[in-house]
Order: sequence, then structure tokens, then C-alpha cells
Amino acid sequence: MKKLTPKRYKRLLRLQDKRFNHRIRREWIRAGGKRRRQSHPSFVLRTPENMCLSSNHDSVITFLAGLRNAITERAQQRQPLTVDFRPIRTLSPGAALMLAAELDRWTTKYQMPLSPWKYRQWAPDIARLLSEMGLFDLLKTKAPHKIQQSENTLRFFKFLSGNDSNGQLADQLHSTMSEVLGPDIKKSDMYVALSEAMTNVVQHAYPENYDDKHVIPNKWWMAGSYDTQSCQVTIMIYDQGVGIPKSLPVQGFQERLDWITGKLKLGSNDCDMIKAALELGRSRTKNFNRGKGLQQILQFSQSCPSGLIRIISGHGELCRMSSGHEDKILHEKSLGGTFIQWEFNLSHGGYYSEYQNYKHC
Amino acid sequence: MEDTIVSTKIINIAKDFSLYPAGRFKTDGPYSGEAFRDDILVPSLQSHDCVQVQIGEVPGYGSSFLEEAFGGLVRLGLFSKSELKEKLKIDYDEDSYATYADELWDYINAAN
Repeated sequence: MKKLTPKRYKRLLRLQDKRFNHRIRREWIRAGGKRRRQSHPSFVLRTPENMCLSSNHDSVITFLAGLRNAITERAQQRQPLTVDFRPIRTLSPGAALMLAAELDRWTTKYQMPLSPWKYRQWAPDIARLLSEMGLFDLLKTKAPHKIQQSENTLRFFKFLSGNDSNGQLADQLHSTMSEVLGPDIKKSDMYVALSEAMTNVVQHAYPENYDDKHVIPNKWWMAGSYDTQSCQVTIMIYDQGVGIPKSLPVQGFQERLDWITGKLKLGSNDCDMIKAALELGRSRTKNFNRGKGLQQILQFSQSCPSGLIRIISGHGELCRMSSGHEDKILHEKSLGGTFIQWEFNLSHGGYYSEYQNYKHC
Repeated sequence: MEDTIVSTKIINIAKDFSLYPAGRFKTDGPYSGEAFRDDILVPSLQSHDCVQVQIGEVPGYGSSFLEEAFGGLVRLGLFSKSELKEKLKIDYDEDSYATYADELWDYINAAN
């Protein structure tokens, strides 16, 4: 008989333990216990490569609608949901805000935890932008401590959300962005525009008969961004309500609406409804006391020579520059709600970088 | 000759109501125009001969807040325009608040 060396003896003991544990585990699973979590999740939703509302609107909206449905279905079944951010190569501020809104809705409405999946394989730019937007705070997890520096000059400011007219949050966003806004963007104009936008959401975006299993009533999200190279500042607010084209005819403004659409020779498509909504506050017919909020929202973009306002609601998108020039786009895919974005190009003057060094563009 | 005693109430919106007024109705938020009008402005106008409202120190006023707080005084039949012209005074330190003062008087004058 072969002599049993200490080394061989220990090896046999380890093998015996392993076989014993494996047998116990098999018995446990047969008795109804759970299997070990698989390293590869069973349901994965992949983001598009180009998450930019301007250049890839329909794909981004399709993805967000799919995410919304997946969140609802998986949450009802108490099943995990995995979203794969690895394909993203381009991320616009608007798309990032809508993505944060969907994930915020998941954690708020269903109170199911989220965790970042394979975030070390995300593109460095994207990991940094999502971290700045507040994604990791939303996921209640620490951002990777070594997010690589990149040449991308875009910077995001963390999103804020609420479900009422909250002037304090409007002021907070201004304070957060004050270093980059400089003297060109007046605090009062920004405060008024944001507070009126919130008021519009609370009053009109989520009517009582709005039956959508996805939404959190009266909820809005807002954020900002800044590009250190182009000196472009963006301020955004987004809601998941019915949208301006659907809410406008039922606000009690029908008589004024008919007058405006007739006078301006507007049709009934979503772009024309957005345009009519912007004109409502200027019309001096009955109910003069209502409808001026959108005018003040518009005026914010006109407070700076380089300002622009972009409103996407339903299928319609309307961009109006402070010069008065207007672009209208009718999209195939409907945005679930209303997205308002103010853009300012501050390159004619100076700006304060995030490091508080005054620089000229 | 008898001296007429005029009671005056001074209301500072930033200190007596909120630094962040926003929204029209009480259902819009905690510091709405309706809340300011019903809880602070109307009781003061009813119990004093003159009410001075100091509108400075806040970041700004949306049209919803101003119209409901001040235009609502006439629109809801609480006071007439002539009464408000006598009793209501709007004060501010910085010139940038002049546009808000003009705007709220526009709402009072336009209200039916």
C-alpha cells in the first residue's frame, strides 16, 4: 500500500469537504432552496450607442419607452432588471436627464435597489458624465474611485427633482451653476422660468384622468450642463405627464386657443400646439389672468442674445432663438411628457470654470 | 381738531412668508400666491388702514404668484381697485424689483 504523505492527506481532506458541500447544496436545491446567482443576468436592456436627442431622437425615445415598460414589468414580478450602459459612446444632457428620471422613478415608485453593472467597462466619458449627473447617488453606491479623465469638455450638474413648485430647488440649481453662468444669466430670470415651469407641471401635466401606470404624479426633474470648450450652458426641466398638445385644449383656454390658431394659421399637430401655447400668454382675451407662465419660460431664453429655447412635447419639437428664428420638427416617436431646454452660448464673453479660474473662450 | 390714527402694517415677503415664493394655488406648493394672499395679505388689509408690502430680497416672482396674490384680491371680490390704491403700498430697495411692482399693479388693474 502506498504511504500517505501529509501533503496527500491534506489534499484528500479538501476533496472530501468539497464533495460533501456539493452534496449538501444539491440536497438543498432539491428541497426548494435558491440557486446561486448566475454571473450573467437573464434580462439585459442595452442602450443605444448614440444617446443624443438632437441626432438620434427616435432611438433614444424608443429605448426610454422600453426601459419604462421593462421597469414596470420587472418590478411587478419582483425580478431584477439589468441595463447595459457599455454601448453608449455619445450622451447628451437631455438624454442623460431622462435616463436619470427613469432610474429615479424605479427607486422611488418600486423601492427596488439598483446596482451598476460592469461599470468598469463603460466608456470613461460616459462613466464620468453619469456620475456627475448623480447616477451613482441614485443607485446608492459609491462612484468608481478612479473614473478616468477624458478629453470630453462637457460637464453635467447633478439633477434635482420634486413634485411641487419648489422655489428653493430652483435657487439651488442656480447656486450650483453660478460659477459657469456668470453675469450674463440673471438669477431672477432663471428662478422665474424654473418656478413657472414647475407650476405648469403641477397644474397641467398630470390631470386627474391621466391613467398611466408608469408615472409619479406631479413629478419633474431638472439639471444643467456646461461645455468648457464651446462655453455652452444648458438648463433643462422634464416631466412625464400628458404633454402640452394634450393638456392645452382642456385647460379652459379653448376660446383663446381657437383665436390664436386661427390668427396664426396653425394646424392641430403637436408642433403647432406648442407654438400656440407659447402665444397664449400674449393674447389679451378672456382669462387674462392665466396662461402667462410659458411666456416667462420663453423670456428666459431671450434674456441673453445667444439664448435658445427648445421644447419637446408629444411628437412635436420647437426651437426658438432669441432672434425670433424658429425651427419645428414633427417626430415619429412621442416623448412621454414635456422636455424644456434653455441653451446659452457665452463665448462672446468670459466664463468661470469649475476651478474658479476666469477664462476667455 | 382730532388727529386721525392710521394703522399701518408692514409685510416683508422674504421674512414673513418665504424667501422662495412660487406657484399659484396652495396645491402647487407651500409658498404659493394663494397662501400669501389668504394667510397674510387679506387679514392685514382687513385689519389695517395701510399695508406696505416689501417685495425685495427674494430671487424673483413668477406671474402665477403675483397674479393670484394681488390680482386675486380684486378678481375674487375681496377688495375693489380703488380700495387697494388707497391701502396697498409696494416697497423695494433695489430697482430690479420695480418690474415686479409694475406687474402686480397690472394684474390688479386688469382684474374683473
